[in-house]
Amino acid sequence: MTPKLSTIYFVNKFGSEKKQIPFPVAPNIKLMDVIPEISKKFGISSQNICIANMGGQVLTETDLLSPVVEVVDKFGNSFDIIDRGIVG
Amino acid sequence: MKEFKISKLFIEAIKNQALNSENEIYGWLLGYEKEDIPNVLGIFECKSFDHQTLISAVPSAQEFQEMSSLLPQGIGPIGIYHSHPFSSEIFHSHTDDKTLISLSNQFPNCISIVTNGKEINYYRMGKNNKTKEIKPNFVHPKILNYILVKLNDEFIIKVDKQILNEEYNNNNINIKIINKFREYFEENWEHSQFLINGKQIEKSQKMENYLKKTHPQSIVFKIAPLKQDKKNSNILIISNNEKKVHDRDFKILSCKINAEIPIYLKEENIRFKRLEDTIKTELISNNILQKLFHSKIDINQEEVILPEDFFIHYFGFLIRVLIFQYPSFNDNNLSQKNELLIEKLISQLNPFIGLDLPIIFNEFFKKFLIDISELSIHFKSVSDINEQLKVFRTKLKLK
Repeated sequence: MTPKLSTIYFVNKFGSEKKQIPFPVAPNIKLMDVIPEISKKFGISSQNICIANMGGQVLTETDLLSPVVEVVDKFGNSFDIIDRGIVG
Repeated sequence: MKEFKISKLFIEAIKNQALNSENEIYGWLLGYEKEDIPNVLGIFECKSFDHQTLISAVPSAQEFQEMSSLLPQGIGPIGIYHSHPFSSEIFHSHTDDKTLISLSNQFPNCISIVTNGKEINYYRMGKNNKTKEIKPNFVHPKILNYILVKLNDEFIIKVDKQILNEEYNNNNINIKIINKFREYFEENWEHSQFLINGKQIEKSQKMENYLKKTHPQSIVFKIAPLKQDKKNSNILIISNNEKKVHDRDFKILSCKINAEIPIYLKEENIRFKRLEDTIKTELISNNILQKLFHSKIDINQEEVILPEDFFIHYFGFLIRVLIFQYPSFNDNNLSQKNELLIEKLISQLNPFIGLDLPIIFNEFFKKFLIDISELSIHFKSVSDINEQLKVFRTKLKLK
């Protein structure tokens, strides 16, 4: 049986208007596995992308390797998506 | 044709920052876009970096999150600036190009400014992902008008006692409450109402009649709940067991949510229906959920206490921090974060010291310092903050 999809929400605050995208995802999938699609939707380069929760906690690589259901329990179902904007 | 608007004072301030640092500096250009022209209203210098050297800079993602969360809907980061210290020639490096491509995918007219402290160049993305140099129009852009949307509602949260016992000592209860509120708002949003003077706003209504400058009444947001208790409160249930129905299995907490959100409008004659998503994103993701994250649960008083909005004039537009009205809450993480934030905000004035301030900036900074002083009374370091403000008033020669 296919597991019920959870919806997680991503907000991008770059630009003059904040934008939000709901993202239905299987709860057992790793958050890391949905990042390429998220980065594509917002147009952020994969190497620049960072994810933070509503309290400003930036998720670590270990967090991203956890299943979505665990991440949602620990950090909530709403995230800011951040472009690190590396310069040199 | 000039391709973006910025005050010359910001250019001087950016150069000042660059000259005072041996490492690459980095900052955000804040503003809005109108008719494809970016308008820079303010700057925010990064103070925290994941990595910062003479030849590269990676700003802290957390600082970006904090800064962008302060900004109102309609005004945001629309470009970046950074320095190439000790470089004789100004150029946009390959790394800079990659970042500008990424940022331009999110905001197509994103600006990138590079300086060595003396010379300065301006760039944006041209056709085929090729960077092109652009020319600024040195004027201070018009500050947009805004509408104000308010929410004052009371909710009842029924928390399964078993969950409360297991999770009370960590932040997980707050997370469960956030998740529940998100679900609730998403499910019920379609039944929500926007009222002005008690009457529902028509979707086709133009917003020019409700701008805050001419219209003292705010737009009131009401979420239509699925079910209500006797006191007319909305009820949310947090439990892992759907069979639990008796009140004795739950701790019943009341939760008052007050929110005020300014929505800056680049087109004042925009119709209400085109603003609904904008309001929803700001109200839920940039206000209520953040407040719930930082909320305190008072078991004895059976209450979830949320921080409130406090507005500060920053270069003439409103930014918002969250504060608790209760002095006894001033030892918590939010207050510690806020004290650091106040320090960062005050230090944004540093690069303007020694510059000739146009009258408009004199007024901006005066208002900003008054607001920070009012905010500071909520914190232990009030006297230190006010001492710093006094120094800045003198150094900036505010009239």
